[in-house]
Amino acid sequence: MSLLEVKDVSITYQMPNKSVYAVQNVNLTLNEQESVGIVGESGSGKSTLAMGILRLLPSNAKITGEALLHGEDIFKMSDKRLREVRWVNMSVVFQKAMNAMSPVHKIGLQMLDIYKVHYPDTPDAEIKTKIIELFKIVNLPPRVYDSYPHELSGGMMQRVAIALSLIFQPEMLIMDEATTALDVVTQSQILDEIMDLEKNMNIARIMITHDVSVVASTCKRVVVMYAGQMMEDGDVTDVLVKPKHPYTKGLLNSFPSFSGEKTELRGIPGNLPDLSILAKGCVFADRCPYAKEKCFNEKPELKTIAGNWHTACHYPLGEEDNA
Amino acid sequence: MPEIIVKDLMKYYRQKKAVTTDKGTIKNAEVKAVDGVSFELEKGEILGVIGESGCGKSTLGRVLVGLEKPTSGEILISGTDSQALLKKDRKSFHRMVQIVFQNPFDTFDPRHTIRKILVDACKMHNIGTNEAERTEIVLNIMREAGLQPPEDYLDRYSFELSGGQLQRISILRSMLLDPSFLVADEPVSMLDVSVRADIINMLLKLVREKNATMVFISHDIATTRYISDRVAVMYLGRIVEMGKTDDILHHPMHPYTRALISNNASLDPNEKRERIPIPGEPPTPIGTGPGCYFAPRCPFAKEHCFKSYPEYQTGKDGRIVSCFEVDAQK
Repeated sequence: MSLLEVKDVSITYQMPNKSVYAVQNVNLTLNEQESVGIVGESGSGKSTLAMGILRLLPSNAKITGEALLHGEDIFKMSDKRLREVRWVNMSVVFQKAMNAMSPVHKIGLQMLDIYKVHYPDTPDAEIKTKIIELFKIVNLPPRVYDSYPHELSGGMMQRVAIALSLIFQPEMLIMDEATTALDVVTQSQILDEIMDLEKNMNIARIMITHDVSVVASTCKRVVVMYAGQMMEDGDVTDVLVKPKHPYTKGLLNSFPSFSGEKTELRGIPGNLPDLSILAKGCVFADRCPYAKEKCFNEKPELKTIAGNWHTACHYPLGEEDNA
Repeated sequence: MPEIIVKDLMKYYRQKKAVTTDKGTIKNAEVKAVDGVSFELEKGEILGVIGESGCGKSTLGRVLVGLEKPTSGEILISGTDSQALLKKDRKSFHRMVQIVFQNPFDTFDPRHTIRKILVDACKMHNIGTNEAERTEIVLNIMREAGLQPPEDYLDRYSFELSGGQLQRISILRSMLLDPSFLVADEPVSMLDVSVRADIINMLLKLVREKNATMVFISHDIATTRYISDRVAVMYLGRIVEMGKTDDILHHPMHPYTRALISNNASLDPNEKRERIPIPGEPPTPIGTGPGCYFAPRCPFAKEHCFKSYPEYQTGKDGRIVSCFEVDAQK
């Protein structure tokens, strides 16, 4: 059985006068020790999806579908069960680690508190030893235990957040833009550390980011989202090398290349559609350079290209002949 | 004669509180944000400045456009000393020198409409004779920049626009006065990837059209490569290596440049790049020296690296690099 199975999940924000369809019909499977990257621009619903899986959304968000953790639906868990599962089975690292902690309490004390939520009877000294061991894993000096968040740099705080997420050796780690705010050097240090940790601690990871290069270098599979819907998913070596969906291609073309000839940089013209209006056809059709009549009238389903490679496009790229 | 000449520019900030470093406590410590930067730019040339946060690249930009007063050093723009001109005629200085900031939402007063933002800039610098003429000028440049139809935008407030749209306005306002020198400080790093490309192309088009000289500050190496003719790599307030873009980025010599570039993740999942690790993070530039500033983190540092700061060597391809351990002639 897969570690996590997300089945047909839709998330709608209920506003006083409209509904915003933030995530629509997303399917995702995460096996043990696997790493999946979810890429998309702002407004693509990638963070909403992750927060939905963690049940961290505000009360006006309506969730349908199932998210099965070892076959148990997260959306149906009681609050008590949820508390048991969070941190122990699944944990999260947020983008702004600086804001994830209280500024007026020492870091060690805050981590100790979290530990005690799950194991209230453990003596403090034992927890402290454990936390300092965790610090060592993420390359932090022991003095961090007695520091306040403002005394640390952005990179160090991000390491604290990662150490915190590993405190109970979870099976699944969700990283929501966890390295986005960091410098390239610090980012690649932390990404390397995370990949080592995964091997040693058997952790599966969902990596949410807008930076395709982060996914390319650290994940096995990738899901490309646009306007709340899945555009394409599959192994990174397939999707990012020979994209089938025009959006994936457009996204990749938007990054200037580091090597090779300097080709003209092309963005994707237009803006994200209004998510409170359900599109009749493909959500990307308005901005798609290849859109035909069918694209505006009929919504494309996710089609299998090969193995676990799927795309939601009527006319996948490179298959014009048989379209 | 070069359009821009920067000579030994320094910007120090004095700390009011005593600072504790591993070398002991220092009173009246000076943070050397920019510590002796020199370069020359020909008219129409674009220089990319890259480096990690805290390397002084933004401070350099702010000093160049007169937002900060340099501690010492000279900036000559078309042969005029910028500090003297600033004192004499601030307005004509700002007509020559403009800046585009990272976050367009922080650039403008939220109580001003786009009309006020753009038309006021014209008015202040005597572009156009009356309100109607100025509005016409503004509408024209907005149309050219792809804000269609421009009338729709005029009476909106900055927060009613998307980041990409507002950054276009920000670039337009800076280029409105035909500046001969533009500093762009991370102008696209907070925008979505799919709009980034269009903004960069718009900026490039305007700069090329008006034959302006630009300093493009960024931590994104691939974007810098796309936009600039030459690249300067900064570390703790100093340029450690500078030369033609592809020479520097594809054949870096300085250990810091090499490490920085090797840590840059690639879009291609099949490409495996050998990563040069550099431990730790850049320290605050307090009490630096006497040796090479990068030596404490440098994987190739030898004893002499800690004793004196390496002079610039000039390479065959015209680059300058300051490191004892490389031979620029090779």
